[in-house]
Amino acid sequence: MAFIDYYKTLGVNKTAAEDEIKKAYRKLARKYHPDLNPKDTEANKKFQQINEANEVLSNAEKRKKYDAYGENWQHAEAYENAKKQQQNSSPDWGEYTYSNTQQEGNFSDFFESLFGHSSSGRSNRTKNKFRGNDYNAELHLSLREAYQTHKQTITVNGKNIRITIPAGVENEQVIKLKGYGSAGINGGPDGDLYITFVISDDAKFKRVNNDLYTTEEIMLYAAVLGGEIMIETLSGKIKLKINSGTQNDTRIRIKGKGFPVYKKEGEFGDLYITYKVKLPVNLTPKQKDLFEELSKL
Amino acid sequence: MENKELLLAEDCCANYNVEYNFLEMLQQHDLIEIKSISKQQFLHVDALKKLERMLRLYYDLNINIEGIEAINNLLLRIKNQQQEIVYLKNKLKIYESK
Repeated sequence: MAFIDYYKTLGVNKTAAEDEIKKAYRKLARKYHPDLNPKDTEANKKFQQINEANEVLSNAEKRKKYDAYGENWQHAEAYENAKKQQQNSSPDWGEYTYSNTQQEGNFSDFFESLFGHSSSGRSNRTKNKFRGNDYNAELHLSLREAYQTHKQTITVNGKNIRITIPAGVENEQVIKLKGYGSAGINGGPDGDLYITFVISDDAKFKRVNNDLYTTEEIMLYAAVLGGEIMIETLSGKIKLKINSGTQNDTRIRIKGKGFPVYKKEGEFGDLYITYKVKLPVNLTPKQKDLFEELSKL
Repeated sequence: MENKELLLAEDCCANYNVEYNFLEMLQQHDLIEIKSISKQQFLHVDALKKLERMLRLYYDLNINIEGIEAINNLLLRIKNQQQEIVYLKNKLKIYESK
C-alpha cells in the first residue's frame, strides 16, 4: 500500500486555499466524471482518485490529519487512538464531493487506513431516498440460441433471475430489466439490470442484421446442367433448384429464411447463399476422355 | 396515483432536495418531460436516471443548463456512434472470416 500524494492528484500545491482545491477538483471532475465518459474505465478510475483526493483536501479535519502524517501515515492509527481518549469529535463532511452511490467503497486502501471506511461525503441533496445502483451483466449465446425465443436463468449478485430472451437479439445488444439492480436507498426505487448479449460466431452462417449469409458447394455437373440440392437453414432443410449454367460465386436470396426480426413475430430476414462450384477430382480414364471430348467440341 | 410508472414531481423534489423550478428549467430546455394529470405534475420513472445525472452535473460540477443540454446532445451522439460501431463490427465479421 503506497502513499498517495493528494495534492499531486489535484495538481495543487500544499498551501492551496479551499477555493483553489475546489476549483482544481471541479476542473478535473469535468474532464473525468463518469457521466461524461460513459463506458470509459480509465476515466472512471482517474475520477475515483480525484474524488478521493477531494474528499480529504476539501475537509479541514481530514486535510489536517493528512498533512500532519504525510508519508508517515502508517503511524496515524496509533496516534489517533491516543487522541480519541482525549476528545470525541464527529466528522465534518465536505460539501463538494461527488454523490453517486456507485462511488461508495471505492476509496483506496491508503485512504481507509488513514480515515477508516468511507461513508462518502454525500451532500444534503441526496440524503433522502435514492435510486439503487444499476447492475451490468453479459450473457453469451450461440447464433442458434439467439435464433429462438427461449428462457434462461442467470445469476446476478447471487440472485437467480429467469428471463425470456426474444428471438433475434443482436450481438452487443443491451436489454434493461427494470428493478433488478440493487435495492433503492431509504425506500427509493430499485436500480435496473442491464444485460449485454454476446453472440458467438457460427461455423455455417454469418449474420448481418436480420439477414444470414452462407456458402454452399455444388457439383460441376449440377452447375452446368442444372439440378436440385438440399440445403440447411436455421429452420430446417429445404430443397433448392439450381439453374443450368450457374457460375461460381453466384449469390441467390431466399426470402424469409434469415434471422427472426427482434420482437416482431413472424418476420424474418433473408438467407443469402453463395454457390461454390466444386470441380471433380481423381477422374477415371473414362471421365477424362469425356472431358477431352467436350473440350474439342 | 395508480400508475406506478409515474412519480409525483413534488416527491422527486423532496427526495433530491431541489426546487420545483429546477425541474421546470430542465423541461424548458427539453431535458425532461413533466406530465400534468389532474393538476398534479409527474415524472416518468425512466427519467430518474437522467435527472440524477443532470443533478450531478449541475450541482457537483457546476455546469449550467445550457452546458448540460450540450453534454446530453454529445452523449446521444456518442451512444449512436457506439451503436454504429457495433453494427459495423458485426458486418465486418463476414469479410474477416472469408
